[in-house]
Amino acid sequence: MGAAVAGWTVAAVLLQVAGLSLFLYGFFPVKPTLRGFSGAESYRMPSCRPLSAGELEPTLPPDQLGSLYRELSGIPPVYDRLVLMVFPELIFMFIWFSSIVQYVLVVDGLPAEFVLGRGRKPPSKEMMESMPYTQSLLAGCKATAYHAKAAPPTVTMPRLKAMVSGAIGGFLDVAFNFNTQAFLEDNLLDQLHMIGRKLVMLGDETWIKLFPTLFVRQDGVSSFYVKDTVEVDFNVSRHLEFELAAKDWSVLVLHYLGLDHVGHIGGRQSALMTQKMKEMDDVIRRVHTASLQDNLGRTLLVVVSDHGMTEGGNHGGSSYEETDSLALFIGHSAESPYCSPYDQNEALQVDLAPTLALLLGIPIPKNNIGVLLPELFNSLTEHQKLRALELNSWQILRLLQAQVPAVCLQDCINLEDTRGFDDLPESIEKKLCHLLSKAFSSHQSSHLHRGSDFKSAEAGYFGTAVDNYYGFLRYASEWLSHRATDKPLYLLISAILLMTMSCLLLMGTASCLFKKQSPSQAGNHSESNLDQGWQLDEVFILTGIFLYVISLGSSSFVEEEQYTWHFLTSTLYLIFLIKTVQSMLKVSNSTLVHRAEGKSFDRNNLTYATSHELTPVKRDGYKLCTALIVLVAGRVIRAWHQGGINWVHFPDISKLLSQADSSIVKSLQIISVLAAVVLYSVSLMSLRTRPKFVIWVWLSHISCGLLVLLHIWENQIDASLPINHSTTSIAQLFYAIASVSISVTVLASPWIFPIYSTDAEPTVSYGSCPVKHIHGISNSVFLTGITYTAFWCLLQLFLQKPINAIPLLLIFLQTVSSVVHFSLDKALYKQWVQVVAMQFLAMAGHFGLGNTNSLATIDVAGAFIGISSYSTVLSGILMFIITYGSPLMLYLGMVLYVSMKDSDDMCTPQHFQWSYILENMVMLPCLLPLLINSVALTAYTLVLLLMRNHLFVWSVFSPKYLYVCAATVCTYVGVFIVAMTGVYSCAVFSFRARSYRNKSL
Amino acid sequence: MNRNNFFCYASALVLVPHVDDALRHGEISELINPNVQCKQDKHHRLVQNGSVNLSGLHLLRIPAAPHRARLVFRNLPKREPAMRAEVTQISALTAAAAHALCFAGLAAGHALAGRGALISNPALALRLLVVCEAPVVIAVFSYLRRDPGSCSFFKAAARGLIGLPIGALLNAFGAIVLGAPVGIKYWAATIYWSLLMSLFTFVPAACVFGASKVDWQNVLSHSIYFTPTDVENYMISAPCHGAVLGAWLGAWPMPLDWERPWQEWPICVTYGAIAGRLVGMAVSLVLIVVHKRSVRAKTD
Repeated sequence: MGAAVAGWTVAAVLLQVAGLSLFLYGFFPVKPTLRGFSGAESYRMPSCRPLSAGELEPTLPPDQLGSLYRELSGIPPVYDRLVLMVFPELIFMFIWFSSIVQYVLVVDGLPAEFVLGRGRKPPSKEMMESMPYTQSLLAGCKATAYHAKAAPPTVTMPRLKAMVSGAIGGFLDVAFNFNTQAFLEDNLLDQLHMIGRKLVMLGDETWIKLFPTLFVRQDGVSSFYVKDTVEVDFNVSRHLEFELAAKDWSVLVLHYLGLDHVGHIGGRQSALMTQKMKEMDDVIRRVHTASLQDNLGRTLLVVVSDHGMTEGGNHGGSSYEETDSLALFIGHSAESPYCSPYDQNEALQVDLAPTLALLLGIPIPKNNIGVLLPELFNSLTEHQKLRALELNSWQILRLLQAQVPAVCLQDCINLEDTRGFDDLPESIEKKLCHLLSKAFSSHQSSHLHRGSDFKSAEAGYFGTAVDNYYGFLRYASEWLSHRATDKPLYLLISAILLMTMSCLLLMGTASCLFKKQSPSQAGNHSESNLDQGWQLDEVFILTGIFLYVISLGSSSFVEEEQYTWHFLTSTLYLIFLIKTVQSMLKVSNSTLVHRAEGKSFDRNNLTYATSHELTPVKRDGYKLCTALIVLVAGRVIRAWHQGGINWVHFPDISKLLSQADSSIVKSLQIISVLAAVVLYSVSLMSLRTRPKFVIWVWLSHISCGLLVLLHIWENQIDASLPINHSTTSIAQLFYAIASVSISVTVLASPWIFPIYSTDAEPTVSYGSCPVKHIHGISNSVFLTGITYTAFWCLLQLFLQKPINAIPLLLIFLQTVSSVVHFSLDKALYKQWVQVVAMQFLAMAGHFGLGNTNSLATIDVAGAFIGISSYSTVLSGILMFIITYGSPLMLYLGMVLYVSMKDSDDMCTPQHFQWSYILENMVMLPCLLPLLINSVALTAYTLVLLLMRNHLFVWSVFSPKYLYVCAATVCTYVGVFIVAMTGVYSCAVFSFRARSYRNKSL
Repeated sequence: MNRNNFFCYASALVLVPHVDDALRHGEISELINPNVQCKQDKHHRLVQNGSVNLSGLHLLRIPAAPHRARLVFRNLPKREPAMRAEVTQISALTAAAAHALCFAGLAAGHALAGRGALISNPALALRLLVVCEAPVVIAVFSYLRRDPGSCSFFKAAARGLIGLPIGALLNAFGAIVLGAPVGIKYWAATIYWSLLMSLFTFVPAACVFGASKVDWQNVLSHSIYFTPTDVENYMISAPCHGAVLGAWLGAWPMPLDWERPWQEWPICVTYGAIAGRLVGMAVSLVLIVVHKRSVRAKTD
């Protein structure tokens, strides 16, 4: 029976792991990105071999680098004379641009529809009137505008990244780089910085987070106060006068947030909207006038919006209204002799990157998938345009080679020679190859025909070359972007099927276990009042889990998950409190009856009285107290961190403390350490037999506590130094002592407790033996469990943020209290209710420590305590320990709970078998967490699949999915610890009992 | 009923409402588990005697001799049967009238506060609701007190008045543990809310039952929905459970980011509690009618 259950459980877990990894692979495609920055090599034709390190250019000072780029962009190796002649303007232009001023004006959330209208119709009259200057520029063909389609997570940061790098990032890129928000990929601003341009940024502080060191001057405004529509923009515009006069910069980024805020408050039709648009128009007028005064027209003004907005003013998703953003170029190269401003001029937002890169004379960022916008190169000659397209194609080809190594230019050309042009290629690689070689060969032929006198022929060749280039670029760009965002549905569904199967398997195993246990339980727990039918707590747990699973479908509830868990946990413990009161009422009732009946029979009550040495009144008092402790501690933990996303600015205790004096936090830390040590000592006191060994464990715990105190003290002395040598050595000493004492306790405790207690000699009656066995094993598991928990608490106090000290202590207290509460009246709740209650506590504690479902709250600083050299694995483990401190604490508490389990059940001789004891002790506490986790995981995976096109899939649901995955790992770890401890103790005791019996025989 | 069951389902609605009282007074000398057959036999015989209605109010554990089932009642006719009968036979009409009065109290409070007052000024609106509802609830349930012989109307009303702050304290504790804010600006609203909740949950039971442990146990448990019981139990428990459940469910929208004014504590919780209480009243009326009908069918 036991082996079968274990086998099925392991099978279910393996299925789950398989399904999970399949889903992760399918849902979060890891697209290979190119590291490093484009350099001079981007002006050469990509070769088939990957570049080795030796071929990299030496680093040059900024000025030389800039001139090198200029040179290279104009002089491809073969045609160096030609280029001097053909590309004079281009070279000249690039020289110009080295002193050029460029403005990037970002208007957060401005839909292109407002400026450009929709579907060839001009925008509505109010919109026209609210932006008179811009409309006059458009009508006068002085500006080129595009509907720039943004990629799905239409929120500011990913959009800015896409604009400056031309790449659409996968979700896991964000997850893997969560320890730094700075943007590390190749991008325009870094390239500009490298050639020595000065950058100035005013507006949304997201830019500063992305590029913390690039700007010579910056003034970030926070988009935190969404209600504010005036101040945010005033804070940007107030610098405008100064910056327009200063002129020492070459790129000025203005990021206005007000329009987005107006949208969030009142939606598209808000009364504030036209006013805001007028304000934006005024800014455009001011900047453009200033740039016109700067003669020669060397200034390019780009007005872009990072995303649009829905009718209600929200954004984040992939509807047309949200992805429809504006790209408006005002400058001499954007001018054209004739135009129709309200054409549906479609582009992609990522097209901005290569266009700007080439206009500014820097290499195209490596991971760019955008395509040049042709209208902006009107001032160049035809061959310069072809050269620009060639550069773009080379860059995209490099990116393609990183993803599909088979694509290679030389091979393509060779292939084409043998096959001819008209074959329709079947595979994607072949098709790309075909398009590429067509483009390059038409480019070459247009070169050859350049000298010819027939203007019309030249124009024809030029036209085909451009068309061929665009054919290749569009196709490659589309393919690359799909690779970044497409999800193979069949793979995902089969992954979910696997997970569902595992979930059902676990459910089946659990129900089988229940069926087996219920007859024995009905026999033993005759105390419980309504044996058949559901109890209130059981119904509540099932309803609560159901409600939780339902709530996962709502992004708000996922953002604010801590409320759900706190609410459910508190309700569950309130129900426990009510049941305790109820049982007290009942007990007093039945004592009355018993009195009336003359106390003739009450074996059960007698055994209670003897085995627990507690009067019923005292026991009831303890039961009430422990339930109350859990409830009150839970409320304090809840108030400690506000958490979540929407109400995070509400006051809470941690904010209060961080504003208060740091000595208060220190003293709270010290109090918690002392209390943890005291609690451990008190628990050890409750052991009925105390061998000398226990004292050693106790001493090591105290020394660990002293080390933590020392650590806290050291931190107080020099808080300025982040990495302190003595701190590191203290930490390493702590790790060493803790791990040694825990492993010694685990290994040794089954050996030291007597199998038979000293007062009752086992030789007299066989019947009394098993009870004593059980006491021995309970004592040893109890010691192991309490040692686990106490050391874990100290470790957490050591690693966590100082502010979390009290919540940690409270979680420890909750763990111990609920174990005591359950052990006081074993008949009051079913065993699975108790295990689930501890799971609920674990989740509430997890959020109580300040964790949320966004990756931002992961404590990275603590992950480097005690690590002398940088190691990703070690700090990753520490980060996991910190983040999952509370669930793991409750798993360790589960060991404690296992030891408290009713040993009186097993006193009948037929139950006295080690396998039976093991089953009874360990099976349920291991199976139930796995089951609950499996239900949550499967349900959430399904939710994620259904929500894959939802607004918040990247900002809310995906980070939460990472947490769910980590929680799965945490469950495995916890269950493994519980199971191994139980199995080891049982094995040792059975071995000792057998050898003892042999000896006595 | 399970033959192997260790419990005895026995109740004497008309004459022996409380088994522990009965035991104390020596009315029941022995309570032994009747299995299905003998219960029917007993039932039949006892009903013929016209004194005991076996319909399962209490569960008592009889550890000894589970198979020799016997019910022996002694001295039954001595305790004022007329008085008992009068009290316990609250008609469905009376119950409906009581509920209607309570509802009228709430409606009056709401009308006094005016439309939307609960949202704009929750403390004031809740205070008006409490002021209007409290006398009605105390008067109605004191009139319906369980032991009119030994306990006067005013004594029951006094029990209700004492019960009001105690119940408020318990409700406030529950609410705060479940996450109600404790800031100073919420104090007034929390106090009035918990007084109102006390009127919904604690006060009716205090007026009717006084300090009878068994009845309180019944109020706490959910077994009344599955086993037939007194009319009063239905009248008190169902609306009380409804109010608590409604308040609990009413708290769910609070963390959502809809930015509606009614998401504030304690507005939506109050709405939930009132709605839950109204549903509970309806449920209790239905239960009473069903119960009456089944009892009548049995006696016929």
